[in-house]
Amino acid sequence: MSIDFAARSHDRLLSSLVEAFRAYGAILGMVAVFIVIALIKPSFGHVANIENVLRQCTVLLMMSLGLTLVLAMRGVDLCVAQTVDAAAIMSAGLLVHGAPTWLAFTAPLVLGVVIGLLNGLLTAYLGIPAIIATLGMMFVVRSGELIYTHGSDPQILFTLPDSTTQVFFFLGRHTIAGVPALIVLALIVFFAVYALATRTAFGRQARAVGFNVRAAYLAGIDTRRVFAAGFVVSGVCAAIAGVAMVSRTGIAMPRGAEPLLLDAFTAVYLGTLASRGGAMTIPGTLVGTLFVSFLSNGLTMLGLGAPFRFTLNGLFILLAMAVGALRRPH
Amino acid sequence: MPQNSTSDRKAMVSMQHSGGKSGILSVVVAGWARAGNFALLGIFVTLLLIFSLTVPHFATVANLSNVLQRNSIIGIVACGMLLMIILAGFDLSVGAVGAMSSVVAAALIVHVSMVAGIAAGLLLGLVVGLVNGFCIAKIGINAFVATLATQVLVTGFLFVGTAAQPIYGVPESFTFLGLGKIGPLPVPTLIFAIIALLVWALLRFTTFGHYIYIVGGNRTAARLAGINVDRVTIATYGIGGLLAGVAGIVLLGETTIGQPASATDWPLSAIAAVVVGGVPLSGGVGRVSGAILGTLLLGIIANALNLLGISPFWQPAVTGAVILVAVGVDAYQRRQSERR
Repeated sequence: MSIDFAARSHDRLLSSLVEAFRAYGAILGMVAVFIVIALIKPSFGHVANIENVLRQCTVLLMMSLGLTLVLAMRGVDLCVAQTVDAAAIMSAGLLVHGAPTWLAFTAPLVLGVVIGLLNGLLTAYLGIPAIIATLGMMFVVRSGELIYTHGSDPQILFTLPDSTTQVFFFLGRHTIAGVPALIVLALIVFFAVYALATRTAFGRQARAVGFNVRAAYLAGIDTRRVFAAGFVVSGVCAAIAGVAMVSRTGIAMPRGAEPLLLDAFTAVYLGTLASRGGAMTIPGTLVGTLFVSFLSNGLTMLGLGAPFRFTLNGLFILLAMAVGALRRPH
Repeated sequence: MPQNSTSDRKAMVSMQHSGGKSGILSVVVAGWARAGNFALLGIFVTLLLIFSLTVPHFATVANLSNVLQRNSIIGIVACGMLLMIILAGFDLSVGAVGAMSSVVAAALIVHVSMVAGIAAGLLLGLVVGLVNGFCIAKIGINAFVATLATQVLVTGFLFVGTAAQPIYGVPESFTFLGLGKIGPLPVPTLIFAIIALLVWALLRFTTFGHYIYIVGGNRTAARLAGINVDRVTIATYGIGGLLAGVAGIVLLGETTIGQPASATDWPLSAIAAVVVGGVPLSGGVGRVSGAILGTLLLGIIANALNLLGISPFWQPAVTGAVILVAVGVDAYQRRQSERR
């Protein structure tokens, strides 16, 4: 009897271990990668480096958060990176031309809303496939940037007098109670989007649309509106990311954030590893963003440049999706 | 059955409608697609006429031959993309595959032989395409992510392998493939035409071609009808990769440099060309003529903008607007015809 009990508890322990490994195995794997890098290159694990990477990854995080909502509804937003750029250029351009600081903070957000609304109109209401609609918008926004900057004149802020940029640079370069203001902002955006996705009617409706549009529609959800709203959230998040980016670097130019598009997709897809059942979740995207950012930093420290990052990102996306596909019951 | 009873006749008609719904719908869709194709041809011809009359130097043999030469590569890629879009998918890795094919071919042409270079470029394209198909069909990853991942992966390998350096040293004679002309007809355009013809024949006359339409229209129905859906998918992506490889070789013929960072805009340009050509991304429908017309339409617009001396900064906006208008009108009409 006692042997039977032991065997059964052994079984249960084993199955719960397997369960735990399924749920957290990917995260353990990610941590293991970092431990290896830190062992080879101890400076990787130093507080200064970690803080630096955390500060850098805030832009990627904010744009990935909005993208997550769109992707979870089976849409695609190819124009997030372009929105980041446009917002950054607008913000910097306003400051350069002597506009008040509050306008440099708020006008880009309006731009983000407008781009998101247009994307939403084109996809949800006109019925253009999201990949095409956001591709077209990407071209249009890129043109706007190029025309405004006469090709590619960077909008430079750090040559302006301190008095005009002091408040603006606070966001990117200063700390609030010891925590960099950028990280505070990213956390606020993170929790706001997290609350939006999990605690509001919109979040539930978006989940329903993601699972089954037709069922959601028959259940009385205004699926078009929910789908369009996803793009608006994505546009706003990208715009905030753009303002944060220019406030950190002090310079904005067309196509500056374009390389981040691929990283954002990688972050969201890797994030599906961190959730049960391979769903796209906001915390998952946080995990994905951190992994992508620290991996890229670690590879650079190991002297392996962008090529290796590309290769590994590609491998990891495939791995994440394959694991997700195999986890799902057929 | 009393023929003169209107209510009965209505019931019969409605029964016929519900019974033969898919039949009637397919006739409507087919008719619309035919009209849509003509509409596109009309737009293309109208634009061609307007540009010929208003844009200086547009309607010259040299310029039109130049337009054909410059757009043939995207046209070749678009032919492959068309097959994958009919299959209700698409391939974001064609650019990386094209770059890889041209780099590998360049390396082998310099160090081994021309035949080995071309063969290796094509073979690698085919292999990446098959891998895409495998990931999509057998593992069940959706086309967007799977091909995005292979794109990143192939680019990564390419950069690691070449240390991001272009490969020089391809003999000048190789430019025949990219820049040569037979009469006024550029060689790349000839290659494009041959490939378009082959794809047309594949879709029209072969069982495999018909399977692509069926699988793209309804996977489940195709499987239940006994079609090996996985095999069709893998083969289609294989062809798409192979054609991207062909385009890579032609690109090498144009530049004689194996440039790992080239061709990044191919996937989206090719998808845009096919979609502007009136082929919906939802799959099951589409013709080669659409892919050709879409490619040439975007090509002549870009060319006219150039000749008119319009700032290159405006060109992305015009391209974007053309895509949005073409696809928007398309989507709107489709919805109207569905409502009817």
